[in-house]
Amino acid sequence: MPARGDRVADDEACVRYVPPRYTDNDMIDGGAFQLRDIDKGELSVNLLGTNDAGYEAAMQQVRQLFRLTVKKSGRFAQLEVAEVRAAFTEAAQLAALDVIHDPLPAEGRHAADSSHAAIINLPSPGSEYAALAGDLLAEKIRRLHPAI
Amino acid sequence: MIARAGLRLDAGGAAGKAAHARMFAGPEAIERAGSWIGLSVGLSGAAAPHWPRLWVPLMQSVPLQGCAIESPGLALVEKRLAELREIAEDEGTPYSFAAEADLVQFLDAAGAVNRPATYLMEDGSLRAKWVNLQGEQVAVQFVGGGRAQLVFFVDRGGKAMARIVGQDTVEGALCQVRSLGLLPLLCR
Repeated sequence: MPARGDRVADDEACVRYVPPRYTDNDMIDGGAFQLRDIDKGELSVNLLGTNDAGYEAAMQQVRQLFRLTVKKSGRFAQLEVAEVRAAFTEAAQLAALDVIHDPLPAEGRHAADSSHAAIINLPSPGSEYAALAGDLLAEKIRRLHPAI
Repeated sequence: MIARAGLRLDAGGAAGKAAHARMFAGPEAIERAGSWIGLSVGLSGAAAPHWPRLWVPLMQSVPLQGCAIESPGLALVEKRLAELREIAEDEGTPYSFAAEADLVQFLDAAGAVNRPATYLMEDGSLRAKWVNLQGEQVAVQFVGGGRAQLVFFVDRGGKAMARIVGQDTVEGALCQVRSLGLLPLLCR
């Protein structure tokens, strides 16, 4: 069981929930990958594992444990962890990203969620480069999954 | 001259039937007095000379029903903007009508014929984005007050893609799009 702060392996895939405001005919905006003040510097994602064939089952588990309300027209955007780490190599203005484990303990009506992880080192909310960072990450989306 | 207004007209008549209304965007049909804007509105069955002039506060928005608004830019994004307004209302989050007016002004000024993917940002501003198969991008975030935040990706012919970030006026954003050779993303 990984501990909080452990680095996620490069060959893992992760998903980020994209609300309808950031999806237009399945074109995803980088706004979905911009930090907000409430994110406290860490962008939430969920890990799907390393096995292509197991992604659907892993997505079901993510949907069951997801703690926020999702909309039918929302999407889960899938990215490869290695590509997240390399997303800013062309943009010298941006620090390299990392992905760390951030398992959530059981809390109230929510079950524990060991798939929870975080992308760190994103630009601060409202900073000049936040939009660029979001768009560069959106370019790395490999696949979209239905939210429900 | 007022090129267009960032507003909607409630064309539902007191009789309860769906009224057909048409708002003309030309200067002869739009008049401004202080913070009010006057619009000539035609209802089906009424002869053109008798179309009333409707006075509404500038930047005020009221629901639209059955209206055809002759703004090419607005026609491109109207359906999506309606969706985004609904999202904001459902979630109780901001939606900037000033940003909407700037977006439509930009689309009209550019003569855009390609609909941008359009998004509602957390602060209520609106972001329009065009991307081509080469990965070039025009992304303009309209924050209201004639200001815009820009993220452009420009193909430098085999070299690394140029990533350009900035802030400008809405008019300045369009100048930058032109000077970077990105206008074909908006206009084929």
